[in-house]
Amino acid sequence: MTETNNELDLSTKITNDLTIRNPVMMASGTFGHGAEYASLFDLSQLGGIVTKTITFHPRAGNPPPRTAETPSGMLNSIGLTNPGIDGFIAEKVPPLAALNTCRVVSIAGTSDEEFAEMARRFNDLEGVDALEINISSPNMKDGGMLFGCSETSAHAVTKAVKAVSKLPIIVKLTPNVTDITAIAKAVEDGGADGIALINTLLGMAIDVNTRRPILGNITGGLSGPAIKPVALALTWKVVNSVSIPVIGMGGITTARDALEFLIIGASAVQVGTATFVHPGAALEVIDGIADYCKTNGMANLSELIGSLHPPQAH
Amino acid sequence: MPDIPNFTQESATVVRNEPVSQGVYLMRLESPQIAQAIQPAQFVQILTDPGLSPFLRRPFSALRVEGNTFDIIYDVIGPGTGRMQNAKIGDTLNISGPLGQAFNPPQQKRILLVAGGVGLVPLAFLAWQHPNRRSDMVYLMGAANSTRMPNMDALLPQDLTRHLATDDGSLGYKGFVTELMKDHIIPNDTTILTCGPHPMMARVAAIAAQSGVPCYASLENHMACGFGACVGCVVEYKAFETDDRRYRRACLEGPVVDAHAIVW
Repeated sequence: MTETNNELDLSTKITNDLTIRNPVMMASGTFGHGAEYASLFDLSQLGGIVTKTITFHPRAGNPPPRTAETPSGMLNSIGLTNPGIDGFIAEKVPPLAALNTCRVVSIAGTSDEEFAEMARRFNDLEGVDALEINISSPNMKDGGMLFGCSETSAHAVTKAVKAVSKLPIIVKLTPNVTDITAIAKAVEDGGADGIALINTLLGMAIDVNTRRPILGNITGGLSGPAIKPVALALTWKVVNSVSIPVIGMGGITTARDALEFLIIGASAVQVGTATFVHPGAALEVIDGIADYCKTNGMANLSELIGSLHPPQAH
Repeated sequence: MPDIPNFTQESATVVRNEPVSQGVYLMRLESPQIAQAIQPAQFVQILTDPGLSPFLRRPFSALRVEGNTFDIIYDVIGPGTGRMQNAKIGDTLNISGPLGQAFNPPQQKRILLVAGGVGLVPLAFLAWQHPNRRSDMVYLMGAANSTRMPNMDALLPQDLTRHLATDDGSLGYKGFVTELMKDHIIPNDTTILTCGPHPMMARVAAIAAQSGVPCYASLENHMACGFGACVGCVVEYKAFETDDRRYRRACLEGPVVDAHAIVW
């Protein structure tokens, strides 16, 4: 698969202080806590992994059914099932320490104080390279997207986390807002070191035979190829609004998808739902990016990032 | 987390694809690595369309293994199984597996197998894989009517005792297959295994509880990934130590679950 190539440098910065070996990461909520899949994947080939979101207390998640297939994608209403921060630190962090890839832990709180307390607990823990602040889950009624839908709350939570954390802080944004650039600027102003987007789009599906919602939680988050054009446009807007690195995601399934995000200026990408269908999708994306760079005579990924040309003149 | 041994992706060749009853098909796939590894109640994830429609794979458990091939049975329900129905001999399908925990028969116990519809598959595989235990097994099979009932002689080992039921009485006993159970349950000696529609399995579990015998169900929950990553296919447990253990994955901790432990 991917080999280290002296002529091609795929490394990229996801914050000003954090460089990863290539721009492809596993998205939160689609790859467990990372280490579980070390037997199925060579994780050292990945740019990085983002764990499933951790909350302060253990969470059962939402009642089933939790997934519904939709055209070129799927809805999920998992609801952040996780063992809580104590269980996570005791059981899931030690295996992370053994992984040779960038390890980002996703956290979600129910208040600024809880976010900050969780962030503080990851200071000085071996096996965690950065935190992704989830203010964008549509499936968490007491937090999640609530924080990500207002400039004031997005700014406040970022500031609270930055005040205590020694780790690089990446804030993950929701697309379910009126003006995502305002939120992006608010988190940059709050001290964020990087931005990741997009989380899932709020969605719904009905079984017309029973006239019931297919999801036990009624609504859920839409992901998969169906959302890629939306994700790309929002990532492009955010890249042009802030000066911190931006990680783009949303429906990335192939190298071509990833290239689009890099060309519009994303410093890195995350592969999520595609992994459910093709477990090795991220590795194929990495290979495809490398091939594209070589074919186009690039020695460094920075030549590709933000290389968007203006529209064809008529 | 349970390990996923022998997980692989293969390009499987269709070597048989034929109806076994109205709208129900048997497909034989040549898939050397998976055929060698797959065990009763384990399943494969089939990519029915290399494009995006349908987007997700579809899970199917194995009926039996012969050499480098294994058989599955599928009900033609939507676009994914519709594409499978149209597959020609020699076509290839991208499949991954085996997934899920295998079912191992209990020692020195009679085994009552209660199947409905395509739920016949994992229970039949158990009988195929354990010839030395077949004399301890009784197989009960239910279907809506005779046109929906496959020719079980072609799908089950010849020496497996079986009783059929149809809702309309057009073949075998008239009524639900669960009504046949009582005659075959010996307290302290019988273990029940079931697979089929959810209401049927719930009834099987209730009868097993009344009779005080162990019962395991092979669940047919909707799945996205099949290997534990999406946490979508969960089943609720009656008792759990911590909140995050309330729901457990049908694909990874299952598909076989203790029917007395889950919320039906």
